[in-house]
Amino acid sequence: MATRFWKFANPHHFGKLVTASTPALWSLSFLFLMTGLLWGFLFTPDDFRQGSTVKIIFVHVPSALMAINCWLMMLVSSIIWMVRRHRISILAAKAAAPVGLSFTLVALISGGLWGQPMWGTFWAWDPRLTSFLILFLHYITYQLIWIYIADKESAANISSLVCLVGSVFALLSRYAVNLWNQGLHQGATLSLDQETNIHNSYYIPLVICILGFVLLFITLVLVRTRTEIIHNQIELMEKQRRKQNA
Amino acid sequence: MLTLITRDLRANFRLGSGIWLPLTMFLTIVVLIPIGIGPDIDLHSKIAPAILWIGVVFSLFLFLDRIFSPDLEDGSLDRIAASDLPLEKYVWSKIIVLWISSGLLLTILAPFLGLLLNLPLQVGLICSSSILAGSPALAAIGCLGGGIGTFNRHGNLLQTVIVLPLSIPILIFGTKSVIAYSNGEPYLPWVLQLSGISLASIAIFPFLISYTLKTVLEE
Repeated sequence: MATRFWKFANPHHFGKLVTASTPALWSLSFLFLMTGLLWGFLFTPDDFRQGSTVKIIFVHVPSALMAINCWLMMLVSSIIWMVRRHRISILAAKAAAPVGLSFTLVALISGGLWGQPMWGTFWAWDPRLTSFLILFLHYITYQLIWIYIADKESAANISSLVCLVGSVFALLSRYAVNLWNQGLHQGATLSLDQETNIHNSYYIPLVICILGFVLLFITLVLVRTRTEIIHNQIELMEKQRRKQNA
Repeated sequence: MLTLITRDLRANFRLGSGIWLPLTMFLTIVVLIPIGIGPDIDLHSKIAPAILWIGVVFSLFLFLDRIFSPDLEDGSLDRIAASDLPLEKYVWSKIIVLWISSGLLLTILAPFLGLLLNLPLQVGLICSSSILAGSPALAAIGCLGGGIGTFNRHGNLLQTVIVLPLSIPILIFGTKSVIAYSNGEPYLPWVLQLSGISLASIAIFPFLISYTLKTVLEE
C-alpha cells in the first residue's frame, strides 16, 4: 500500500492518475453539490426561529470545514516536502493554497451574511470568528511567499517552513483567542458524540454538501497540481533552450 | 559567539540607526494614535496597553532588513557558514542582539510612554514586564522575517508582512496580562505563558532561521 502511494510521487504517474480520474471526480462533485444544495435550499423546512436564513448552513459549514482541512493538507504536504523532497508534494500545497483561501473567504462572508439578521451585526470579535480571520491572514502570507520569492526551490523551502511555523502559531492564537470571552457563535453542529445534533431534515443534505465540497476540493487540487507540474516542465525546457542558445 | 554579539551590538550602538530607529518608531506610534483619537483621556488609559504592545511589535518588525543582509552582502555569512561555528549559534547571537538593541530598550521606555497615555506608572510597569517577557519571542520571529527578507533584494517590506500574523498570540497574551492587572485579576499567569512562548521560540527558531539561511546560501 505504502509503496503504491509513493508511486504517484513520479510526475508521470501522477499526471496519468489525474487525467484518468478528473472526469469522474468533476461529475461526482457536481452531482453531490447540486443534490445537496438544491435539497438544502428548496426542500428543507424553515427553522422556527431563524426562518430561511438557516439555509446558509449548507454553504457555511462545508466551506469552513474545508478551509481548515485544506490547511492541514498543506501542512502534511509541506512536511513531506521537507522530509522526502517530493516535488509534487510541495506543488500540491501551492496549488491548494488559493483554494483554501477561497473557502476561508466564503466561510467568512457567508458567516457575516448569516450573522447580520441573527446577531444584528456582520462581524463580532467572537473567538471562532477571530481565529478564522487569523487563519485567513496565514493563508495570505503563505500565498505572498510564492508570489515574491522568484527562485522556485527557495520558495518551496520557505513556504513549507512558513506553513509549519504558521500552523503552530495559528493554533496558539486559537487558544489565546478562546480565553477572551464566551462568543456568540454556537458550538459544534455535527459532533458524533453528542446527544443534541442538528435535526435529520437538515443533517442529510448537509452531509451531502460536505461530501460535495470535499470532492470539489480534491478535484481542484489535483487539476491545479497537474497545471503546476506542467508549468514547471515548461520552465525547465525554456531554461535548457536558453542554455543551448547561449 | 560572544565576539559576534559584541561586534553587532557595537555596530548597532555606534551607527545609531540600529537603536534610534526602533525607539523613534515606538515614540511616534504612541504619540500618533492618541492624536488620531483626540483628547479623550479615559479612552487613552483603556487602550494604552494595546497601543504600547502594537508599538513594540511594529518598531521591532519594521527594520528587519538589516539583520542578515549586511553579512550576506559582504560575504561574511559564507565564511561563518563554512567555519566551525554552527549557523544556529550565529543566528542565536543575532536574536540576542536584536532583543537587546530594541526589545530591552522598548521595555525600559514603555512605562514612561504609558504616562503619556494616562496609564498609571504601576500599571505601566506591569505592561513593561509583559513586554520584557514577550519581546524575546518577537525578536526570534523578527529574525525569521529577516532571514526570509534576504531572498528579496529589492528592499520591500515582505518580511514584515509575512511575520506579522505570527505576533498575534503574543499580542493577545501581552495585552491580556495588563488588562487582568487593571481588573484586579491575577496577571502573573499571562506573563508566565508569555515567557514560556519566548523560551520555546528562542530555543526553536534558530534552527528554522538557519534553514532559511542555508537555502539562501544555496541559491
